[in-house]
Amino acid sequence: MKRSVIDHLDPRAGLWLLLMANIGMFCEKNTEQGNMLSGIFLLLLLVYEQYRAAGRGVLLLLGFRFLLQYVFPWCPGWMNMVFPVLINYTLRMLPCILAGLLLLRTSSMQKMIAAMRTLHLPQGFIIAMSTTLRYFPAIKEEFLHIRAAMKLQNIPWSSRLECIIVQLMMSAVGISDEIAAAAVARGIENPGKKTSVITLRMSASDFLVMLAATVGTGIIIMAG
Amino acid sequence: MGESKKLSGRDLITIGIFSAIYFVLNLAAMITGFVPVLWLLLPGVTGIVTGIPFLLMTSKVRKPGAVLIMGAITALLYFVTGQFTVLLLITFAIACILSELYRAVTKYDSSFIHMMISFVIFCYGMLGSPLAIWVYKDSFLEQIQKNGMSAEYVQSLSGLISTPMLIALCISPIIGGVIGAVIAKGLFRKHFKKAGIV
Repeated sequence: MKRSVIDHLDPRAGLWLLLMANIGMFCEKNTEQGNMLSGIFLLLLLVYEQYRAAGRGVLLLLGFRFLLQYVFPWCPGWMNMVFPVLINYTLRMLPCILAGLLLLRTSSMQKMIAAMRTLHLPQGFIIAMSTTLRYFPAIKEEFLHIRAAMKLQNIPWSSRLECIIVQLMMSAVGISDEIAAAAVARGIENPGKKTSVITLRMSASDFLVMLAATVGTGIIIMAG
Repeated sequence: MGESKKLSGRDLITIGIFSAIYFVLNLAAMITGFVPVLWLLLPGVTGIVTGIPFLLMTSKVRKPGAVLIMGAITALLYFVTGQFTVLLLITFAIACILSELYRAVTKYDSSFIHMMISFVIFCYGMLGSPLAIWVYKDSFLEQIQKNGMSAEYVQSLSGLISTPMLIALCISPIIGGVIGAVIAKGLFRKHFKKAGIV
């Protein structure tokens, strides 16, 4: 693993950043504020060496601004009814999307679960949540299997949706029983405190980033 | 049933798995939102699409907290991917709590009508997403005008963000939820009963 001064973000700090992005977006009054807010999170993406995500964010921001400024005023009315609303909405959401990306890219699922434990979320919620997270790859896999089977049997397009949904549900029911049996055998119902391999510790850089984002968001809101 | 009303590990895993499916279908419904009219009716569309996992989950886990956990997972996932606004969070929380209360009042009955009603209430949670346009209307239109759009265009846009549309938005969860529940019922009868799942 690479070591540098700032190479990991504590998920709790990430959640804080996300909260800041949400608050900033909620209070945003004009375009400049939105741009600046997006700018903060683009900068943070760079700090955590997420260059590709940052690059995409910049492209999205500039591309959308360009479209709004120069392209849409020239377009026929019906197009103007449809797209600017969406683009404006996406631009407004951009700080949140960027903060979310930062959190997802910098923390593994184990770290997230450890963070949820330290935040004292109810145990039941954490179990359900971790099952959900682990089940996403399984859905994809199931879906591919179902698609292959449908191709083999030449199922007509009209009934494909039903096939997918029913199969997905059937397998979900089956799998939930299997996982439950396995989890009970491994002591999921043990009322004692759960331990974790990962110990989370908020580092100085975490606090620094949180402070910077908070101050930045505060200034932007005040400036509006 | 003589079982306790506390969620067991098995129930939690069932909730988790169906939440995953619910989330994927919900996301798919969100993507149809690229067609603006469908986006304005998003709660309805979500209702049609996500009826099956919700009803299957609620019929399997008939205990307090199931709907709340499912809602909380969906909310957290959306929050983390940055697609959740504070507004959506509020409507979602209210809808989950009401749905949970309705289930508690009807003693977690698994008859179709009760499940359908709790589902319709749950569907109202997605109201917050398109509602944002109404809430932010003024600043939203102002921004568009500043971006160089003609006053005429802004006028017609604000016409779309109208009261009748808002009413349509508020009714859409009922219609979508009922359709979703009926589809789920049909599939239950056709497939899941035979397999002995429901």
